[in-house]
Amino acid sequence: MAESALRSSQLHMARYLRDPKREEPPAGVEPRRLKIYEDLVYNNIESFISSGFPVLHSLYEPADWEALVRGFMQRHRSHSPYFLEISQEFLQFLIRDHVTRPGGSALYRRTRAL
Amino acid sequence: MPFSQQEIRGAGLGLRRALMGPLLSMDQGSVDFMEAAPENWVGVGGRFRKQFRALAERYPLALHGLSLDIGGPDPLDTELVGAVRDLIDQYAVPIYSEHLTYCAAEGHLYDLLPLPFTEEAVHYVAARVRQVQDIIGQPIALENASYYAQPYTDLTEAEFITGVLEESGCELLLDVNNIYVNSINHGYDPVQFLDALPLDRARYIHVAGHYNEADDLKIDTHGSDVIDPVWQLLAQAYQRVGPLPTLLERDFNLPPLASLLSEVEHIRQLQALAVPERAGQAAL
Repeated sequence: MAESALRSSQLHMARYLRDPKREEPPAGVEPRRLKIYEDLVYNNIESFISSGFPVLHSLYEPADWEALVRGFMQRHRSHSPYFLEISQEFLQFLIRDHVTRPGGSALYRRTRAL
Repeated sequence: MPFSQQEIRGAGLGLRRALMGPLLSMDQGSVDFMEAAPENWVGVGGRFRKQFRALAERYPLALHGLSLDIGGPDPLDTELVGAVRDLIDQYAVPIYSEHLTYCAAEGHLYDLLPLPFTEEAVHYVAARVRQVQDIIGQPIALENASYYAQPYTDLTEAEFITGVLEESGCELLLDVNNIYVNSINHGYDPVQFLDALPLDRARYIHVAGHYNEADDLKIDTHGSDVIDPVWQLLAQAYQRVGPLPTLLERDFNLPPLASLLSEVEHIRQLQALAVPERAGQAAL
């Protein structure tokens, strides 16, 4: 059965919002308006994670932190409908999916420097 | 003490954890009902549960969900719907509402995304609404959403909303701030739009503040005071549907409770103006 237009448009939008730097934007949408959704989705998830993990957050440089949150959005699929469980989803991501970069994580580097 | 179901009426306020202390100590007559997001209360125990129960004993409670994902491509989360039904049963909730949007596609994105206004989407959403209503055992209400971008439109927004309501038998949660925000963002007349909606199915109303991104772009943040054009649109809505129960939504930049209660009071004033003869009788 051919995939429905509805379903494919939604999957496309979701793929784009999870990784706006690499995925093709949905056609026919003013970039300024699409950016609103990019920001709403990222800022909401980021705020739940940074309030759930304040110490981890404090140990990261802003750019590294954003890369970590974006890695979570790109590589982890959250199935909990409960906002307070976003931090548990993030923990699962850190345990299962997060690949430490060469030279150790920012957390490790900072801890050693202290 | 078992709860007995009380219909919502008058002017209401969102039940938020950040406001729990002030909400518990305000005068009983300050608001007529409260509204809570079930996703923030399912499975919650301890002190928060006690406080939630105390408020539910004092005020009729509406549930307004965020994660149902009524229009999304993932399977319907019947476990969530079951948990909402349990809350409805426990607190004798008269109405469960949600957004006419989707918020997941291969997993949750935790934000409300715009559905394409197409026939296919009407049928798809209506079937899922019926599935939810079968589990809940009563009609739900769907909120007309705010949206910033809409790549696929075969139908007008009003046709889309009407189609979903007619095919599913659900009710309308009329959000006047969303109509205002969309009217600016998409360049239409908010009163004409209001008149194009199936207002006979309106169950209750939301009013809120929004963020001014640009002259032609407003963001539905629920983070500031309600502005005059939105109050005027609420008055226009009352002229058409009467003084339906109306909730003040405020989710961010929370001011002191007194400031929110003065907005709740403003809702009551507009409601009284909508039916002067009934307001007169109530005062006797």
